[in-house]
Amino acid sequence: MKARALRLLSNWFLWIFLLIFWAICSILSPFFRTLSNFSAIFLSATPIALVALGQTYVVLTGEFDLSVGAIASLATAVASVTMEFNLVLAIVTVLVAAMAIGLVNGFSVTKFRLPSFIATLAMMFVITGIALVIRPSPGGYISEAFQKIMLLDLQGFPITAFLILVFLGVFGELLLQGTSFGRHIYATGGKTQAANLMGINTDRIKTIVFMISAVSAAVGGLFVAARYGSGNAVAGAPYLFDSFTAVFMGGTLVTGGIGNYKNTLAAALVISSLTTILQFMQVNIWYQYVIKGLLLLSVAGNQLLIARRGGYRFERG
Amino acid sequence: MLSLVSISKYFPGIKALSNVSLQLEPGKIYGLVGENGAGKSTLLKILMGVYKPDEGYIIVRGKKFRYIDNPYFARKQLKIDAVFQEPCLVDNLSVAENLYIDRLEEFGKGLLLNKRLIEKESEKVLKNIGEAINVNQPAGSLRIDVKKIVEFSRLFITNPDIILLDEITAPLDMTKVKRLFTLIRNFKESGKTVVFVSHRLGEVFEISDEIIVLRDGKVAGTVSNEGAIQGSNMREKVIKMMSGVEIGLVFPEKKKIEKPQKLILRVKGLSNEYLKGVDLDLHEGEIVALAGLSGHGQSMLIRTLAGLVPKRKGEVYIEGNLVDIRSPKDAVKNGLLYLSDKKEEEELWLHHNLIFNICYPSVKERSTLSFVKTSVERRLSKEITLKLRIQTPSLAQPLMNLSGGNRQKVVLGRKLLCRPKILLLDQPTMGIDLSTKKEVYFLIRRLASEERISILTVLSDLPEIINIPDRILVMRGGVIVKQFPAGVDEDVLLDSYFG
Repeated sequence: MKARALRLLSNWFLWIFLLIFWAICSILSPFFRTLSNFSAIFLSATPIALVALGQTYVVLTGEFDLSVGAIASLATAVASVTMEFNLVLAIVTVLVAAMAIGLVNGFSVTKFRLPSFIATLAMMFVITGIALVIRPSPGGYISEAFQKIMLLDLQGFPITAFLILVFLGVFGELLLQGTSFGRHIYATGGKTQAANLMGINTDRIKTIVFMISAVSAAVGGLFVAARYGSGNAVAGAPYLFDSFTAVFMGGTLVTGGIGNYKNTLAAALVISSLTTILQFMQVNIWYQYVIKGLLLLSVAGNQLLIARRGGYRFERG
Repeated sequence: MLSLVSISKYFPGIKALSNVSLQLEPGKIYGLVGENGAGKSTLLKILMGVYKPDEGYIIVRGKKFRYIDNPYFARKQLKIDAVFQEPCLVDNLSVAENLYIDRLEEFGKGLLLNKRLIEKESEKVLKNIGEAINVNQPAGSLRIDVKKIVEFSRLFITNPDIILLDEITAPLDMTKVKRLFTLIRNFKESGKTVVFVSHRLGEVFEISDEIIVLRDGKVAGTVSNEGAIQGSNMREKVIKMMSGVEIGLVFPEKKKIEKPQKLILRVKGLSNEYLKGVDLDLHEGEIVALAGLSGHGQSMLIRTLAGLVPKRKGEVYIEGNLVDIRSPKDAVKNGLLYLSDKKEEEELWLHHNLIFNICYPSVKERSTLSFVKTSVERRLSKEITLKLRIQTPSLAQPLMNLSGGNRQKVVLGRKLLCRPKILLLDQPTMGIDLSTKKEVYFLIRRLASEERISILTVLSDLPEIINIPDRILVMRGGVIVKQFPAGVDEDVLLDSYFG
């Protein structure tokens, strides 16, 4: 009985952290208890959660995707020039381009044997350059219909954003824990050599995962585009760091193989809650970074604990 | 059923296999023997699609292949499967998931996995081979011998026709080996082909129908093991084929100790999670072996003495002084040097040269204000290399060019530089070829008698246990249950394992 409770606790640790955090803030601040506050939290958490989805999968396989921020920016840039023609076509273009980028990332790592850190770093520069060519300065046209749908709210509650978060949480985690593909991801990250010997095509898994990362980053970028109403070649940059922060805060090991998405999602909410509070209190932007950094440090102690306990508990839902 | 025709394989700087041709029939067990570097693992890996031969081809059931693409192909299409020397389980997945890892799709309803079914099936498989363990625990938490059994049990799931076993008995004790042999004989009865690689010649003679000897990448000969007449001359014949030289006395003579020797180590009531009150004495220049079924505390005892595992109760006295050992650093300070049985723990810097690997761990002793005299290190390395007879063209060789046996000597060498009073050796000869093993035996005896180093070693090979040490301590359930002098009868010793 006690062991099961402990296991449940450790599996959902970041959600517990999040709820306690929200509880404390709600008690301390009347503003926090308002709908507009939570609305802001969910809206700013959505792109982070999207970008961090793919990043979680990539890190679980033992790699890193440094190009996600640039892909998000590129998504806004491409959307801002194509949406004036046809909304659906614009979205399709963005997604196809993202898949292609993911494929190239995957090949660089699996066929050309480049360390993913270097390959995706290079890709980040290339993509940023392309984005700047398409959109040298912020602007362009983002379809109003698109904005309306993305930012749809019911009595002040951002329903689309919320549904996206729920969808991500449910399916992002389900893919990892409940499917054979998910198991293959864990095997690839856990012990690549052994996985290969046992018949898993780790190269294929890694490539697919890079493609998922690129697409989820692109969708994140589309959401950002909807919020700003314009394209911006550098709008996605902060999401790179936020994605890693969310992934590691959520208990995924830097070396891969152990971790899950649901805690990453909770971490995304923690990050956006923090940002929202600090913005409301009109704290100097400098402090926001410091606090984010300290928070990450404090939760990073996790990594050692997780690795030592074998961490298996964490990857089972 | 399976033929290898003129297979050659090159690696940078070395010809691992040279014109190897073999024919393997169904329903037979082939023992593959040879020294380290003779090419056994390479051969198996070629059959398993991990390596591609540079010359020659393979014929499986009448179909000819220039090479085998990958393990998946070997397993699914050619029905060849293997259990390798290196641990091959994914640590962060459960035992059940590891067993079925390349077949998980078969357990899905749509996209989702039926986890309960996977559990049930794995439990069935493991029960059949007599290993009842919790299939939900992470594979990384299993003890090394249980891991090997789990890997072995995958064979019952993939059900291959050709089975390759590479040094799988190394981490196993007698009872498990016997169980395994029964299962392997069942494979033979069902008409499968089994290739069994082991350094333990006793096992090879027990199980094989035919013995294939590799030396320097070539087939040195094959010997039939069928028929009642075996005898020691066949063993010698095989050993001669393996090493090309006559191996005389395998074990060194023990020195007759007349007067009582100085007491170096006294342990009283040592207890922790794995030990339940261990008492032992170790004298100067003495070799004592810890024996018994694996997992009964032998490794844990010396790891506790080495400061790797904390103790809860008990006292340790070195040369009469009570010592408190809380970490490996404390142990080394007190002259206790530990040699691990786990390859990962003995850090070998494969890209660095011999001098670095031998001298670095004790570098503080020779440095003044952080500066180290390279000439001193070179001299010391040369001494050690000569003393231990490490075979290498030069001291500047990167460690990865050395064979397993020589690497082990390097590890031993680096311990010697730390001026040990007591050497704690955990399976020092595991996985090493025969001639190096012999050298290690003589070396241990020389260290004990000439340099007055006391040695406490965990051994699992019966001939080694009986012939090398001066005293044998049998452990069971975390305590020492019996003590024997050297030369005890094998059956008496085995009996004491079971109580």
